[in-house]
Amino acid sequence: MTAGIIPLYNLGGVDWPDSQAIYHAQAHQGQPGLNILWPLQPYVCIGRFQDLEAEIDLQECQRRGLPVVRREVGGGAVYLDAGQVFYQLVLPRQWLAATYDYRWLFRQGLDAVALALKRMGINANVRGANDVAVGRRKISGNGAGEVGQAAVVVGNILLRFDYEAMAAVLRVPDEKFRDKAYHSMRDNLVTLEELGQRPSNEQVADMLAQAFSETLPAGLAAQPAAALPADVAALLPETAARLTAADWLDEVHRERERRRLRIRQGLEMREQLWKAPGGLLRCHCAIDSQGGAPRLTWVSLSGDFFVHPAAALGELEQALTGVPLAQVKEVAARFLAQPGVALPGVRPEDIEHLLLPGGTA
Amino acid sequence: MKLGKYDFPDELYYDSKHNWLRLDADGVTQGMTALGAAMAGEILYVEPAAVGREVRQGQPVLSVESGKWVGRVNAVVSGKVTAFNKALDATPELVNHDPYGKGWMLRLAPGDLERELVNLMRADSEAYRKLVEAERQKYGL
Repeated sequence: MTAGIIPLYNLGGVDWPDSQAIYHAQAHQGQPGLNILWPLQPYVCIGRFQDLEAEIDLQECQRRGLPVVRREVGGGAVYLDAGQVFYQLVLPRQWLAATYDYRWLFRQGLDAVALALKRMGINANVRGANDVAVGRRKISGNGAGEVGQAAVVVGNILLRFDYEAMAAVLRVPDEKFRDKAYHSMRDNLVTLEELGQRPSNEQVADMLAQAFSETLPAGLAAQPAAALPADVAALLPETAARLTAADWLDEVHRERERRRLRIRQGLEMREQLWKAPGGLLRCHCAIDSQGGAPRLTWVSLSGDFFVHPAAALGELEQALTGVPLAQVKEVAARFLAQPGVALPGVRPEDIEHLLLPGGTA
Repeated sequence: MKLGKYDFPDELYYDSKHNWLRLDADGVTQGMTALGAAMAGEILYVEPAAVGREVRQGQPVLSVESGKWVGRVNAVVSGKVTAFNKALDATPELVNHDPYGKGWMLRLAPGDLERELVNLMRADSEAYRKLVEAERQKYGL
């Protein structure tokens, strides 16, 4: 890594398009920056390679007056508003080694977030590659990527979170899935307010700025800067227009056989399809891989196949709930071998394919 | 050959960014090495490379997403993209599970293969062994 001074822009509240446009403009210009800010208006932001139509209920966004933007960094769809203070760290590509571990980049953001929270008396820790959590509950979501001429890591601290709005704007297969997503978020996310803390956005921003000044590695230093450089500021309108353009939002169309909704590190909700000889199988499930072997914590099965007796489907869901992924085939085989249970054309390996596409956890 | 716990087939060429290149009768095939895939973690998406696009050696040809990170993959040699592995649309994790087989990424009609091959390495070369060893140490893999 090359040594460098990173201008620190503690910008306060900004109009929502600028809350995405600033770091994209810096990255495409190859200019370093550490931005701390929050959006003055709420909006929805999707990840670089998400399929907009599959992930977001655009009608609901429209009904709520929520604009949508596609960022160039990874991760999932998020509802963003002034209840979240953002950081955005932009490092010019030439400052970094030819190959570098993206987990290292994440740590540059996560360590500062964890330190800022500790200073508020909250026992927050980095969890996995890209979350900061209090216990098992996520209080900071983060994403990263190579954007333009830079490597970028962005994230937030949740002061408050509108769980209802987040669940409402997601495209879901049915209301049961939405309800499950809502409750999973409530159980697995936490905000400063829920922890009994009500700092102002400005206070959180200042603590983040201070934390970054202490956690940036040797060779990198953040130096407060008064205003964005003129060339970056001049790029903001066109950058915001590009990130919200209809063809950019519609750019990615993914295979619809699988969908993942990441709640926190190690906990995902999934929708998956599998064509068995006996018909199309669909599952909605939650998989928790924290603290041990990945296991199913919720399973809902449906599709276009014959099952007898009708109650057997619910019993199969129950049999699979709590099962480690590695044992899915075995449990399915035991279930299907029961006398009186018939799912013609559905083999244990079909259940395994359905729940473990590609054989992965 | 094996370097650490990772396979690096002898018949392939390698660049310093953890990509491999295979010479085929009708062009070349490119993918990510087993070590590169391990460094990336579970690949969640591989951006389809545009067939017909001209790329230059060392320049980005597509991006991949893993663990909320979007990173670029560079072309191992210059040429025209002739195919993208469509199987990666539905099962991008093939890059992790079968990096030298079903997890191949793209095929190219090379433009200047003879000249550019000298920029690549073989698995049994001292330079490549050193590179892999340094990366494994650096990332604890």
